[in-house]
Amino acid sequence: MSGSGHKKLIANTREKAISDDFNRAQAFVAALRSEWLRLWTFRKSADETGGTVISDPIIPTAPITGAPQSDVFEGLTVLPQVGTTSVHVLGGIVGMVDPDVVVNLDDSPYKLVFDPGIDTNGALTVGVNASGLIRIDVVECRRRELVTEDDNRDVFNNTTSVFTPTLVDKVSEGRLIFRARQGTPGAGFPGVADGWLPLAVASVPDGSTNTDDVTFWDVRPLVSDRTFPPGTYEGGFPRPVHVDQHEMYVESESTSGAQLKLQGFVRADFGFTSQRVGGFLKKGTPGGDAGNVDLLDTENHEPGFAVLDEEIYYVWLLFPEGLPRWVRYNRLPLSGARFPSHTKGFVVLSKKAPNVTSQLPSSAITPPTITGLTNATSLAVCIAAGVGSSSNAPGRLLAEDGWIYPQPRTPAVVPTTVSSSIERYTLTSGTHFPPHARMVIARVEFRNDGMAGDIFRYEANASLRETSSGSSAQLEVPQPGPGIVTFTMTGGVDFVKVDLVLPRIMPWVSSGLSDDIFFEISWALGGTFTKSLEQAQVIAWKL
Amino acid sequence: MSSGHKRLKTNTRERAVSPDVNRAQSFLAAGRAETLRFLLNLLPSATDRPYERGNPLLLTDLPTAVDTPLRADVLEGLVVRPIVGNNSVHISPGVGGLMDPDGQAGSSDANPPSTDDSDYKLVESGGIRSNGVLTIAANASGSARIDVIECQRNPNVVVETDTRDIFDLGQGTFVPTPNVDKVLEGQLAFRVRQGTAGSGYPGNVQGWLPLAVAHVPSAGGADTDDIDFWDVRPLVSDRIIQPFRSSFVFGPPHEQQQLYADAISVGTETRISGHFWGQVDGVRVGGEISRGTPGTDQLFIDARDAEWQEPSFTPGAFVPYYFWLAFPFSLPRWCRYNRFPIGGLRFPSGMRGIPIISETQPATQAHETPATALQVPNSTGLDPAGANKTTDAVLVVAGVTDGTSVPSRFVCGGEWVELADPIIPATLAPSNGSGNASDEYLLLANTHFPQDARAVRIVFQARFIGTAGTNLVIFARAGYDHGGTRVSDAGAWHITSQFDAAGSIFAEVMADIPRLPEQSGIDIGVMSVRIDWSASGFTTKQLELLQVVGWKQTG
Repeated sequence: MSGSGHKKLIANTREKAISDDFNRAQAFVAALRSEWLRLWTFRKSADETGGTVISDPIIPTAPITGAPQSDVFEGLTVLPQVGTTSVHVLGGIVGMVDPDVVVNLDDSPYKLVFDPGIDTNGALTVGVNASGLIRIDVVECRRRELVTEDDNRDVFNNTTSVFTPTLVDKVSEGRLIFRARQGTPGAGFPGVADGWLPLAVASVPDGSTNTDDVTFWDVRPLVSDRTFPPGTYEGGFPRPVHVDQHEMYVESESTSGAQLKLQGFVRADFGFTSQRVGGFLKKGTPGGDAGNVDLLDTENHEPGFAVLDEEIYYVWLLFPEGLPRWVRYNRLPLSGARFPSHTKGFVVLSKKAPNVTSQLPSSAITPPTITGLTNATSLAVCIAAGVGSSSNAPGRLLAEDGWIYPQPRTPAVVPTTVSSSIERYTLTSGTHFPPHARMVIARVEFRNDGMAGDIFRYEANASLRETSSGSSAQLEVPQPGPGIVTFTMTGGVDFVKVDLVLPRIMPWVSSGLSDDIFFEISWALGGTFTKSLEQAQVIAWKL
Repeated sequence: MSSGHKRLKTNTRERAVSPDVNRAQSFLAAGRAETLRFLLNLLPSATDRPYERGNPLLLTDLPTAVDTPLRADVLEGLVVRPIVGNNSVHISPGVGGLMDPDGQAGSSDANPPSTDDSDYKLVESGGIRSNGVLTIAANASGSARIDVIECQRNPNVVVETDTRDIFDLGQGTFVPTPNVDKVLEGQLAFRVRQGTAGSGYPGNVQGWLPLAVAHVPSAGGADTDDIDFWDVRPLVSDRIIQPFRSSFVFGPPHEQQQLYADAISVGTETRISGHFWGQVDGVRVGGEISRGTPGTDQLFIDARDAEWQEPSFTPGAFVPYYFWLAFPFSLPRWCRYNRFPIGGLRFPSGMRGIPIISETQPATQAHETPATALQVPNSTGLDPAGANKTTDAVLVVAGVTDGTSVPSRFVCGGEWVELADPIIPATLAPSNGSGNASDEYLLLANTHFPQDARAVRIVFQARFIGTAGTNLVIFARAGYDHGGTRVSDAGAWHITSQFDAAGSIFAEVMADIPRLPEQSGIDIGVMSVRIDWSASGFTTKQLELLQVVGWKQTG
């Protein structure tokens, strides 16, 4: 009788029973369950590098600093109650690495806690702020041990040698304590409290009298959000962020009035936190429940954001304060309820470009002022990049299946080497295309002068190069199209235009490679021609 | 001091009582069951809270009643196995979690519920491994009969008794007492529930979990060899985000990995074969295209044959037709068994889903939203009266009928569905008239392309009239037009040619036009395409037309 492999306490024949044995036998079974889940959900290195455990799974020592490493299996959703200052909490199950102060080796440090939540008003309140400044509150929980049953039992009295009825603790269980911790008005996020797990973050505006005015973000560490549930694979290399589906469109300002609406759908895997992020693009900062993000609205901008004509701007999903999800709640009740319903990660425009290797922001991004959050974060996922318009405002874009077509475009570039047959171009990372782009489409053109009736013939052969000059390795770029084009010039001027699909020579793989794109186009020209005004312009990129 | 669980405390020198020992076991079992319930069994009940919108769980999502059919999660096993040459079926061992609260209507245990227990019961079953225990009756009715092989929890089965010393209060001594119940466990009870011949699927029963559905042909069923089976187990391993139930609008993946509608190999058929993956309600469906309906085993369906067609399917010429996989009666998988034994065995071996060739289009860009409920083909025998149509379906691919209203050919290499016949048979003229520098075309969803298309491939052309021997120079650009502005640039084409003796040149270009996302708030049912011509050296531009030659439904 192996006990199905688990640790077991043996009751021997004719052995006198003692109370500790009963308690320990329960503890063994519970500890095994907890350890199984702890290791199942444990943090591992990047999937691409073997997915091995990066931390020794030894029992952590008490006390916990910061938030306990936790896994919400389901539930524990914070539920603002319409028209009141109360929030409820849905029942749920969470696993927490939360070792006891006095460690008992019979127990697991990973405590699996079911809590029925809170479903009465007045127990947990958020929403009143008359300070004149935005205040950030945190709705959070921590584990506690609770005696849920006591009973009158016969307990043997050693002195009188008889059993005496005595009131004793009979059933205890791990439960959660919930609280709404107020921040300091104007001081942003109040930090993570030792031992407490944030479930929701509330931005309480000045003048707020109940939860209706408050913006909530869901920040639960949900296991079901993970890229490869239930485990956690961190880091990710060489592509720690994988945007696997795009359908985005920025409607024109003339169509939508004074707005420039980014709308659509994106899904991404964020390797650094092992989360699936994105979803339908909806406003993630405080305000109405728009089914889009207005790119002109400073409420969606990093403070100080300004984009000039032909400059690239970046659309980020932000995850501040080291917390996951950041799913905004609907402001107006749906079927009488407010719940997490917006994009996973809130959308922010910034000029900060992604690092070519990590794809994290080149420097930390500060959340928009309207959020009341003040600490910059580097945990962000770039989901799109557009280009500034001539009015020095974000321009439009259309994305489908990973290709993003910006309108307007980045500046045209002239070749560094020009001859009648060969042009060499340098497309600069961050200027002509986003640093983390995987491919770009470059439109190459030149002007041909001649006489009406002249016969003209061209063929374009393109190749990627590792460096801007010299005899660096060349990789031919296959081109769709007719090959040799021959025609007779009707007037004195014609423009030849060819679109080239250029993959990146992966700078994220080798540090010796440049971030810029170098390519050469070799023209096979025939007939009568005078070639001039050679240039290339990036018309699309794939992230 | 704990691992977070609920536990019963035995105090020092406390007199032991038997309920304590029993309750301590209940606490541990309930803790395990509750953990698995939250992991496996819960799902936001409202469709407006899918994964893409945060997928939040609310109080109303926590079920307290027994569902019809039983809400369950099969971790593995419990495969119904028809025995070749016999009328028996076996069940393989397995483990399932059942939402089966005690003392409720439809519950397997009529005893009142205890707060010590979980409503979610984790049951391990040894299955059935002998003939004659579970049999399917022959059918001589003249109509097909649908039977259901299903299971229910069989609670509190005493699997061990013993003789124990029990204290007799009257005598004041321990008295050996035989046949004391000593070990109890929850097991599964299995049954074959016969339907009524000719009446289709006999419906679900509260508290019972269907494992397989059997199509017993008319004048058949003497043994299981001529019976077709579909596997309908709610397998956890089928889920998109395992082990969780998650609902999606655009759930990954939707991959037309390879599809071919072949009307050449057999001239009287349009055989659709290939591979497809999709999702319905967070469950991965599809696979290698195969028969899906009763009959011989084959790795294609024939879009021309009523065997696979919705009963109302009578398409016109040059209109879209749609290939759906359906999941009727609130049951998952619908994975057909091989008819002919492989290695002596029959088992679920087809794609997941019942194929339907239909005129019903997708209502939205989501691949899982038929505009109206679908009726499974009559060949299945499942719904002959059309009284149980379903919207639980995913669109595999859309094709086009030819000039004789017959489903025509297409091929898909992984992304683009390329049509053999144009969906616009004659011409689609520009909506702004002929002879302009820009041609505007209006394409209509479900007329010119399927509503779930992510992009549409077009061929556009115009005829230029000029003087023989002179030269025509054209730059053509195509893109999606939104409010008079081109918002996508499908490419630029440089076309130069010399007018022939007739003074006529046809310029023809192919381009891929992306669609806008549904969430844009724009009427995406009308797709506006604009062609900008920059041409010189001609006198007249005429005969402009556009044809749709393909679409991309993946993603």
